[in-house]
Amino acid sequence: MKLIKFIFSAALTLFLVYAANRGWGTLPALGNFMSPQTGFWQNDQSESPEATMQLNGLRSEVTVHYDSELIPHIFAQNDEDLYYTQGYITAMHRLWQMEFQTYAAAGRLSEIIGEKAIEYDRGQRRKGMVFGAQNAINEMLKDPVLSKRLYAYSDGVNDYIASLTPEQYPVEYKLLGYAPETWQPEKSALLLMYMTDMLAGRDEDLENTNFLSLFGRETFDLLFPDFIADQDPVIPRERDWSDFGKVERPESPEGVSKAIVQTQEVLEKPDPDNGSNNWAVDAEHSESGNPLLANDPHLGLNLPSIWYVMQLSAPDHNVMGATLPGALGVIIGFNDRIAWGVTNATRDVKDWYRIEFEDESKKRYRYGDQWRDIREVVETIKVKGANPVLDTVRYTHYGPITYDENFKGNGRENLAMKWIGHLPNSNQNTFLGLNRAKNYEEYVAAVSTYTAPAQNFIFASKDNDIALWIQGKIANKFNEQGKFVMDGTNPQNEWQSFIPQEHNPHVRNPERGFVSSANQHPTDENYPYYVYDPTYETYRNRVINDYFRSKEKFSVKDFKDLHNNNYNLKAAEILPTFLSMIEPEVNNSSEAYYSTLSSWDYYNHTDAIGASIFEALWDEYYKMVWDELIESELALQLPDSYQTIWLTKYHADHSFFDLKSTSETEDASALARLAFKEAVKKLDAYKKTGKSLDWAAYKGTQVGHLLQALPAFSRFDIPIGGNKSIVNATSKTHGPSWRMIVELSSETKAMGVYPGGQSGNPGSRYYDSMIDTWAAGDYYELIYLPNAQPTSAITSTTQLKP
Amino acid sequence: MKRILIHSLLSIGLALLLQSFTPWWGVVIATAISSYFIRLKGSSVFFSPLLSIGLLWAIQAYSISSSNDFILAEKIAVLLPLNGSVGALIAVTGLVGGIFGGLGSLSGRSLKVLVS
Repeated sequence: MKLIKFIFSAALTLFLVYAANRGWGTLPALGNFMSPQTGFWQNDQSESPEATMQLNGLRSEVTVHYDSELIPHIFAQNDEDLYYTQGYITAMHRLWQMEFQTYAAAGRLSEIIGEKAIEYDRGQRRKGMVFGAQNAINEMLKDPVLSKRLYAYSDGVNDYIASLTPEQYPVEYKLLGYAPETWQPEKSALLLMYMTDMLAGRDEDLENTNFLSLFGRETFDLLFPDFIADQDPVIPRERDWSDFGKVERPESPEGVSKAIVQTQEVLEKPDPDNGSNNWAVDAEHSESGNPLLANDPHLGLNLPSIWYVMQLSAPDHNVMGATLPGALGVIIGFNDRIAWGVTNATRDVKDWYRIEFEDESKKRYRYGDQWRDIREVVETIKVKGANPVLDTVRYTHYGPITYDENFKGNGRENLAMKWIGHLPNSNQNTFLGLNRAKNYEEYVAAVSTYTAPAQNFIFASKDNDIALWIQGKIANKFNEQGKFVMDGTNPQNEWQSFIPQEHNPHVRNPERGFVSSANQHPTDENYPYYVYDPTYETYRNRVINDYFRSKEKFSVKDFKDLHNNNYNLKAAEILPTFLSMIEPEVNNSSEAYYSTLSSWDYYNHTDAIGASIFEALWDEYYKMVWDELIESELALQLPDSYQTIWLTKYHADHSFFDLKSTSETEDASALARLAFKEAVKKLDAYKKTGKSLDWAAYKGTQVGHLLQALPAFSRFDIPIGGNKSIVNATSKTHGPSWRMIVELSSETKAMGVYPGGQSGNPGSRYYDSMIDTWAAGDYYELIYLPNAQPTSAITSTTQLKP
Repeated sequence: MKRILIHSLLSIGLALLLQSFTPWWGVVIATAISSYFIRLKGSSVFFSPLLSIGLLWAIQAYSISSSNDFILAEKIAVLLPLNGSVGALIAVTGLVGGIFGGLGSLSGRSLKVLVS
């Protein structure tokens, strides 16, 4: 009996200890997680930097000052110590995020979150994310200077990881039950690949091909034109391209603009709103007489934030700005001579080729009159709590076969991807060059080797140069090359060459006194190379450029106002038409909405009820116009807002306006009335929930934690105006992820803010400490220390000793 | 009663000591040792350490978190989900610690009975 009692109690104890020592499904290991010594309680603290730290990886002493927003100001005595410390300090504040993003890039999320990520991981592998990162890192490590810096950064991250005991791990590790792994330079390449995918990973070739096959050429051209007449390109129209002489262009082969394949299922795409604004004015157009530059990249709003602000100083340079945790140096920032920023310069840099195999063994594929060998890669996807999944990815000389009988597409045909993201590159070096650049020539030298994601690199200097290079490695294409899926057996369909770097569009000190970009078309139609992308921006560019044409001189205050400008040009261009279409059917229940809408001033301010009504109406209308496309079994893209509005105004009886679900034949006007009725219904239902119809409340901007927007670690209902297509591009989950304004006075002055905080720890007061300031349209002064001497703005200092 | 007090103090002392180098389940060993050497009667074998270790964890959790204005505790209380109540989160923490304290104690006691 005694024995039984003992065995019973011991077994019960051991079993429950075991059960509480491991996670179950989405539940963390309860014992470990709840324990005040090892669990999340240990993460309930805000950073308070130590006075001194001993770091064996250093060569000399390094000083790290912190200001009141926990922004580190690093002063090192050599480059390697600088990047070592960048790695160490970044890991200290953002370790989980750094790792998570590189896991996501590499298609390894199943390792952390289990089976639900398998399809995502397969997609990442089939996109060749690791293939691209490896090509990049191999190239980067060939450069001895860059190689040393990458390893120094990596050592810094690893020394921080090694200093941790499990109870000090960031709370997400405890929640998911895993531990940080060793960092490697390849992970920096993976992080850059993550950005390349986000910014240059979108294409609509398969959808275009489907559309062409369903609706024909004429309709395609009507709804998806290459150029739009009233747009204001990045490079001013005044630019005459005759200095290029006659440029070499490849010839179009037969049949390239034909629909050769239909597909039902495609990979999830990056958000089409990933974009940005930047602008700069020269001294003559600045009220203070100093050149001014601003930038705000629009990305998914996440916590921990994608950006981390730092000042990085070594004997040869002193730079400050937004860094990407995982990459070296500052990505968007300034030093004591120049400032620079980036917006995405979208271009169709991802193409698809249909592959023909010799036989079912899939060992060789046709290329011209020969057979070429396939390189088979068996991807092993480890899965938390389950057996690993194997997936064979076949590589052609174009790139990986993403879609085949085992993965999406049409479940039959083999489609290979050719993507600029796969090419060897040293893109990391561009940013390290910009960090050190002192003038226009050094800026050009830094950006000229940059390949992808192509960016509108804006520049201003104390020499009073303002400039913008649209830089990336861009294939020199024949007309419509890669707009549709191409026949991979025909070598003529290959990317033949690249546009010579010096022919990339750029502008320096234009007569108009300002440079700007907002993801619109890079040039006018006279640029002698083929330019195509399905997502060129159509509204922000005009608002921004009109503003800079509206007066002579601009101040920092003007720049702030423009960042926060809520003018809805799209609404201004369609609402009067809608109002006259809707008016005949306004009744008692919709009259109040109609009159609010009619008196609305087109500004998506936080308290604008008219904006809520307009957006509700627009959403309904847009869905109704493109119902045929939404309901199609084939994968299709919808025409953009601009083209939808154009069609409404000038082709109001086009057959697309006819709703398939009704027996009547609708035109745009009838559709607008139906959409208004539907919007009123939705708004009434929304009002019944007791929430305010103010635009900010209706929109409900949120900043979601990287882990599937885990509500506990996210922020909701942030009071901010704007929307997509507005200069203040803040929609529900997307928007200005960093706002920076730099004044190039004799002592550089700068301000910045982002919707997050410096700490990645949800338990830190610095986790989301900048969000309210960001939402209010305010900024923090960026404390740019000329040297290691602290000022009154410095709140604490850590001496790092070798 | 005195025995319970001594047992509690010993359990807490051992738990504090063991926790600095064992995983979270150090509390199980702490109460097992206490109950091996100090004999508790009846249900107090389980409930006394439930209370003492529960209290220990709750107080430790409170003291760590209160110095940071309960920033993370409030979020975890949403995650678990406890309606955002930090009080409930601290109570659950105490309960988890306490249950394992109690289980350790039961095992220690039954081992003692077995060998004596």
